[in-house]
Amino acid sequence: MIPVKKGEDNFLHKKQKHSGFPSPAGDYVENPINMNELLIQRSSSTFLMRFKGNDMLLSGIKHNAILVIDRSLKAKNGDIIVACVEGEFLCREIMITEKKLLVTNCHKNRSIDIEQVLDFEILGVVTSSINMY
Amino acid sequence: MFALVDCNSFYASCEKIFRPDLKNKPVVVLSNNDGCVIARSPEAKKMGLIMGQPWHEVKSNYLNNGGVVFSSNYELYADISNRVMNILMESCPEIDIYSIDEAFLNLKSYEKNIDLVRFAFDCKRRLREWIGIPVSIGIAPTKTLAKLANKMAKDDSRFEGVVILKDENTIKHFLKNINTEKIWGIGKRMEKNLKDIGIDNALELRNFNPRLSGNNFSVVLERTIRELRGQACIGSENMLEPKKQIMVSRSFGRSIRAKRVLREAISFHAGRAAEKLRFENQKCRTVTAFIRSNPFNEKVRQIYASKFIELVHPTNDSRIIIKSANQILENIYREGYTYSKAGVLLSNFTDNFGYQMNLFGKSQDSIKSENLMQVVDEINLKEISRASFGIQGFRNTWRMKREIKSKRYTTKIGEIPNTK
Repeated sequence: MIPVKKGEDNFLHKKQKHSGFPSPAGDYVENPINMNELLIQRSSSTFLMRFKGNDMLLSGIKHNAILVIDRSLKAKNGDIIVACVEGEFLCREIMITEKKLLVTNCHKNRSIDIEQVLDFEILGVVTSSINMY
Repeated sequence: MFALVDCNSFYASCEKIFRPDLKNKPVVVLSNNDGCVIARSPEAKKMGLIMGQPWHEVKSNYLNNGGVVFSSNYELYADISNRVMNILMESCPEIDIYSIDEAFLNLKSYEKNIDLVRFAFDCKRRLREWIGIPVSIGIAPTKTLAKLANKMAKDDSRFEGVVILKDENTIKHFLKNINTEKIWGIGKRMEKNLKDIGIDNALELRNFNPRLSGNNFSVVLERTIRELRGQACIGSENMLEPKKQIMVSRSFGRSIRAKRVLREAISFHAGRAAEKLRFENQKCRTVTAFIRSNPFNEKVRQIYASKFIELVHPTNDSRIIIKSANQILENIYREGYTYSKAGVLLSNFTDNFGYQMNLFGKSQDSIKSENLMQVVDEINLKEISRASFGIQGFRNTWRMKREIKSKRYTTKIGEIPNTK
């Protein structure tokens, strides 16, 4: 999903001809850190979306953040989710108590009562967000 | 037992994943060049649109009634298809991917331990929730029967998308109501032949012994009959043969007369075909090229011209393949016609390892050629830029129209969907 650059050579890995001494680290070579492994549990059900606006600032999601969404996870109370609400994608925190609410996680604290929405469907759970500076 | 999992109106369903506003709206997808309808959402089917219908015939009526239309977005469909297959593989590792939107699962090793009904509905629910693709599932003792079961699951909404044919009596009862034409591998013509000897439905075919009839029926028909009887004969090897030929062809965005533009198109296709050939680790000995007019346009003079060249040495070098295709073009091009399609076919393969230039291994030339092709492929794969050969052209005015294409939501970071 997130491109980790392929084909960048790890020179220690290859049995490259060393002109001088063999590398003393040669026996300790590991793979570089893989961001996909870190951010994605199940790639087949994971999708990326771009968040627009300031409604989720208090959850640390800035305007233009990239959201990692796993559709295979079941939403629990307090999860940040993306839902389809009356034909639009909406990223909000979900509160499941006696009422089901979609909470706008910023100062204004506007919330949507899911029971009152005609057309509502949870798309997936946001497992991380990437803010680019 | 085999399960056939088939995605419902696959291309149209893909278009709906990232467009919640289109949830219950009619959606159709058009073929290359926006020529005709190749996928219809259930809502579009209800409006009476037919598969393969020329777009210009239905356009105004469809759009005026609130229909939504897309050019084909193969980047998206390929990615979604991959996801579907991977999730199916999690449920059942023995999978034969039959096409972009259907796959057979071989349930032999599990069927004793699982409840087939639950298994099927679980698969269906996962693909719906995890990706957003609706599927139909048919389960039966053979692939031919599974295909029929799947058709039933798709056509009759009472089954909620899952049909399982297990015991003998259910299967017999089911086959009695099926026309032979609906059976995998039996076409309209065969149906007529069967009718002539008194076979009207699938059950009668199942009870038929072709050897006793004295007629000349093919081995394929015999295999089909055995499959209808519940003996599995179609293995995975019959379906996934290694490629024996590679074809790259496209209809043009508009009719073309000039040889110069045809040259560009033929070279482009030849280059793409060579790239695919290298990807398959093969070399070819035969290069075929063709050009033709639009057979559906009665107003223009018709032409179909094609020739092939046998190469002395098998190759996958773009330069040689492009040059050969152009030699053919010089030969087959006739002035005064309008052309609507061109293509290149590579065949007669030898794999990359099976062939040696001479006793002492690869010649200097062939090593040089391999290195150059590797560099070209790497540049193109990494999308650093597009490395091409001069003759392939840069303007590409003949390129196909995909005017109303949706975004590549899952394969390009700049095109991912927005949420608020």
